[in-house]
Amino acid sequence: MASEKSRVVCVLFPAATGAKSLRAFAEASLRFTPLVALRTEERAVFLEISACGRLYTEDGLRARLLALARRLAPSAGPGAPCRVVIARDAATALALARFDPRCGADPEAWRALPLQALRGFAGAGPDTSGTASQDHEKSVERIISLLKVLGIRNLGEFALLPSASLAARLGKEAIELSARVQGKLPQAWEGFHPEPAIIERAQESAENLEAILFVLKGVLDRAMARLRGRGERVLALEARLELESWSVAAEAWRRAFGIVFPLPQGSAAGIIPILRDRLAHELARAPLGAPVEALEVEIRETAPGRGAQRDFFSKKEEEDEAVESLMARLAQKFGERNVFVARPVDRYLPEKAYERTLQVASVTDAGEGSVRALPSPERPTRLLGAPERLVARGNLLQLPLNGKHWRIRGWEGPERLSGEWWKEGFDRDYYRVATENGERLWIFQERGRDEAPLYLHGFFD
Amino acid sequence: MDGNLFHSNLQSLSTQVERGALSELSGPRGEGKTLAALHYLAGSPGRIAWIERALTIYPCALAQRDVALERVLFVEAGAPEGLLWAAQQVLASQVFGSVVLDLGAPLEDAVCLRRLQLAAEKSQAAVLLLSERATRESWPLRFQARVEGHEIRILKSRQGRAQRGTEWLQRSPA
Repeated sequence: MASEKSRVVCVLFPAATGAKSLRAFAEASLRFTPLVALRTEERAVFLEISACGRLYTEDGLRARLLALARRLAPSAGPGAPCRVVIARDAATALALARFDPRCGADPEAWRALPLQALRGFAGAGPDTSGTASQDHEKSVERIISLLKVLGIRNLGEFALLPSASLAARLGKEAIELSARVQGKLPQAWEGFHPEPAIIERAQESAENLEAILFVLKGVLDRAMARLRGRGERVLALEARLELESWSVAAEAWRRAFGIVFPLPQGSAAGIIPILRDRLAHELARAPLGAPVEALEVEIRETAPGRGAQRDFFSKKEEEDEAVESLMARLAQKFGERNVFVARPVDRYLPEKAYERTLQVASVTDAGEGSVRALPSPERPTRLLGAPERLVARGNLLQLPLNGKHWRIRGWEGPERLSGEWWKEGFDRDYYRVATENGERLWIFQERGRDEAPLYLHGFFD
Repeated sequence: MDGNLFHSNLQSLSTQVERGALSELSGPRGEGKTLAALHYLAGSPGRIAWIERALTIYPCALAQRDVALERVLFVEAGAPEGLLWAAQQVLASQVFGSVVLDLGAPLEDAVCLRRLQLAAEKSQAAVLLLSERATRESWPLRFQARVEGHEIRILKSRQGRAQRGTEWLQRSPA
């Protein structure tokens, strides 16, 4: 028997909806509940939400499902919208979606459903047996005819019939039907299992970059909705363009662009600018020989996605996502090593005292990250990529490379830095040097060598 | 060079850098303009983007001067066009409170400066341009200062404090 709080959503699509769209919708719906079932022949997707009552309201869920259906099954169209009904079990929800004009707004609406709705209860719902057998269908039709003869007009009146006399009058199937109509007979769920690969395709023609991106946006949007249902984000994808094959152009009729993101991406909005840059570059280098007639996006690699709930009072998640998208775009352009967040590491060698990461930390609402002050003494604000050798003449220091020189006013130090003997090792005396022009330099000298040269390593700019 | 005086001058300089506008700090290498920028960044909330052609800023120095490294995104942009492109992208994301553009040579292209100014205005981010010399195309800048020998000279300010040519913040005694 269905429990008192059992709640099942039925999303009923118009007859024109394709099986692929239904599967995509079912996959994207996994974000709401792990218990999703699909009945392709009925054009219906079921969501078991009994345990999700604290996560969202039924009205909110209804609105979100309708929005998702518009994205993933556009063939339904505004003129033939899908219907979303929430009821105590799958069969009742399906029957209400089909026959109740108010989509089950009244909890007792099932009582007024016509006898034809019994067909949905016969072997109905997302059970393991699939569609009812032909014999079963015939017996249901017979029961409906008999009930009409008896003057029974709706499911409410049928449910009131005493179960003891049902088998004798209408056959054993009537007992099962009556139990299902009253929500007393639980039904087994056949879980929905998404396809392993995510490939989305659009059969649209496009002749320039903007048109291609316009179509790609929709394709990506569907792919990302499916990924979100799985609780994943994309790390690598391939965009494929199929060109019109009747063109006389000699190039291949298919162009593919693989993109690897340094950070997992969770939305089409973040990916489109990266695709725009990449396609603009590639198509400028090698223009398309013929108009595009179809586009395809395949998700190649994924990473677990954060399923965090949005914070109602802060935009932290949105900001983090925007930063990740920006970093991915910059890294595509400049290289992964050249876009980074620095993290101090415990090493004495100054140029290795931090590491480059792509890990974005959230900045609190006040805008302050945690300041982790490093040990003194003071470090220069500018560090040269490679130390530059200096030539010392009295109180004059000169860079032989470009002839620049400084007249020294005072030396401060040394600060002795050494270590990493297990690698190449280093042993340096660092000095903070003030010049007569007011500059402050960071200079070191290798220890353990006579007449060791001085090196300019940074500036206190 | 008086360290305390320089520090108090940094305080007044930080108040002149505004969000939603371009500010320029110029000066020779090693004479204090980066310190001035870091002083401003330490007191300003939000994320920071530090964009340079070839990175010379030393991240450990930022942490020493109270700028949390978690807030800072470093970008090494290579070519000058990349520098401006990166700045535009960062500003368009609208999640950064401050953007530091280390130009080396000053940006004399009024169109680029105007574009940056509009982007800064739209994202309400403070854009700090660091260069060795002051730009002549200063009309899109709201604030312009020169840091030389750890002394700060205001070249331009639209806050009404230095409208007439230049003004030295308190000079240290010779």
